[in-house]
Amino acid sequence: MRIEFNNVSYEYRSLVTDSHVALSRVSFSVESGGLVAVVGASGSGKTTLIQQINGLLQPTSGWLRVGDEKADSGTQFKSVRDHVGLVFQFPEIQLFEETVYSDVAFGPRNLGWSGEKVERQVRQAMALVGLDAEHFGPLHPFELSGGEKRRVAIAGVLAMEPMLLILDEPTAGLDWQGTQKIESIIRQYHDNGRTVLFVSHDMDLVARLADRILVLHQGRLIFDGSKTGLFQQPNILDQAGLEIPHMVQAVHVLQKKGIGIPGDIYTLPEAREALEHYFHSRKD
Amino acid sequence: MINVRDLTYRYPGNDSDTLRTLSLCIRPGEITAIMGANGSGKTTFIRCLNGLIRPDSGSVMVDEFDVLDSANLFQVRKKVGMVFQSPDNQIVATTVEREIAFGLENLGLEAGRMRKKVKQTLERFSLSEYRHSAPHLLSGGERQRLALASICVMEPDYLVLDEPTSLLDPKGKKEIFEYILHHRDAGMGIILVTQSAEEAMLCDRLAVLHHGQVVSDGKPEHVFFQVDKIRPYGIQIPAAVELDVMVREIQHAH
Repeated sequence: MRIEFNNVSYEYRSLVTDSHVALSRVSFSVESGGLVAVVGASGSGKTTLIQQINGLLQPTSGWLRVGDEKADSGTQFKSVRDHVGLVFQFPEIQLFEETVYSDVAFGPRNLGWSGEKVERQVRQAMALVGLDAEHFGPLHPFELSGGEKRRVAIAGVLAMEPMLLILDEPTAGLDWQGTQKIESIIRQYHDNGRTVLFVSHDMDLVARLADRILVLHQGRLIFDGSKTGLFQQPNILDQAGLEIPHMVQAVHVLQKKGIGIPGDIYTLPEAREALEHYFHSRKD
Repeated sequence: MINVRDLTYRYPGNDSDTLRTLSLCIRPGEITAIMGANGSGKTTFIRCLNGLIRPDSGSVMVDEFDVLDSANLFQVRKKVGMVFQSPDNQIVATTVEREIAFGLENLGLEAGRMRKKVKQTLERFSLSEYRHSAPHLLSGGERQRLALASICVMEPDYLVLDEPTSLLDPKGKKEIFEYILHHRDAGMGIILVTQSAEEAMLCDRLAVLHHGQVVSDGKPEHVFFQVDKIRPYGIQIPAAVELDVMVREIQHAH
């Protein structure tokens, strides 16, 4: 599902505190099937940006298009939410049904799907997040661990099969195993041909997953391009209060020690392949 | 020193122990990182340190005070300060200044001394300009700084931090860590529960928990370099260590 932002600005207007420009003339487009990360310091406008995409907020000026619908200061999206799934930050706090099954089924039921289709979608979504429907379905959400609850909340969104999946800090506060599971869920959903956009502070996660990065700083889009392009520009990362991923830093150390591997290595399998290649070619 | 010996604890209604004969020493002037997967017992362990949970067996000594002797609880809680993952579970007052004064009021400090200490602490944590602000108007990083300041103002000898940076952006993480280092250098004994391998590498010591026991304990780089031993415990390993081990292995094979 295609996204296009054209000079989108958004101002939070308040009678009590000062008004605050959260997005300032943001323009970019994402083609269908992209996997895009939105990064920036706290307060840089990331959450405001994704809330525009599913119509929770409307631009103060400028316009955006999601699929074939357009929104501006005077026009709201009509049916965008049927195709855009938004996983909020800490989505598990919104679990409210008596069982895991009915929580995941809540969204699909609201779409007016048949009982049969709802059940199929729920089973599929639970399988996708790695929770066995037979075992977990009847449990009360409170019986689950933090990471499992997060996955139930994500399954509730995936069960509606959104064309565009948006996640706000999907791994915040999770342990390492939980983080890895969420990472593979996002990857799988994207591999099925869907467009995914996610917000994260974890630059290593961003480097492992995204094929493109948008950097926000004080409501302005200061970078839009490939991760390799971004990590070669430390001044942009500095300005945005971000770090070079630890994996990239470690690769730079190896390069300085004379190990001739490329700089665009983001995952352990990529590192292994490059190192095998390097040591193998040296032997010949 | 905090001396923990053979702690065992089972939550009522559970069919297995969350802590199993856990032993660990926490020394002043050091940051001890605690890592472990969900359910390894990290949170239960740190709650035993200031008497929030009473273990089924074993002992916890905070300097000369036995934590299991309820007559010592006031002293123990004065000596051991705690800061949690989310500052919002901790902040109670309506302004930044009152939040910092809150603990001192409870300790019954005289007004003049209290004002002086609050002023010093506001300065030390760069919160003076927000003195009269409502805590909820601060950013996440500033709120966590406030939570830390409101504990440090009571000058505890030990500080227990439960994932204090995990919800912050990189700048917020860095700031909080600077304050932690500063207090370590001033002689405080610090326990830092963390999920971040890179953060653990900056600590003096790392203890890995698994099924309620300490399964590895030492300098962080030494612990991490036993990659094969610690990988099954489900904790993150620093990228630098992963690559180092990989290079040696591939070099060796060629």
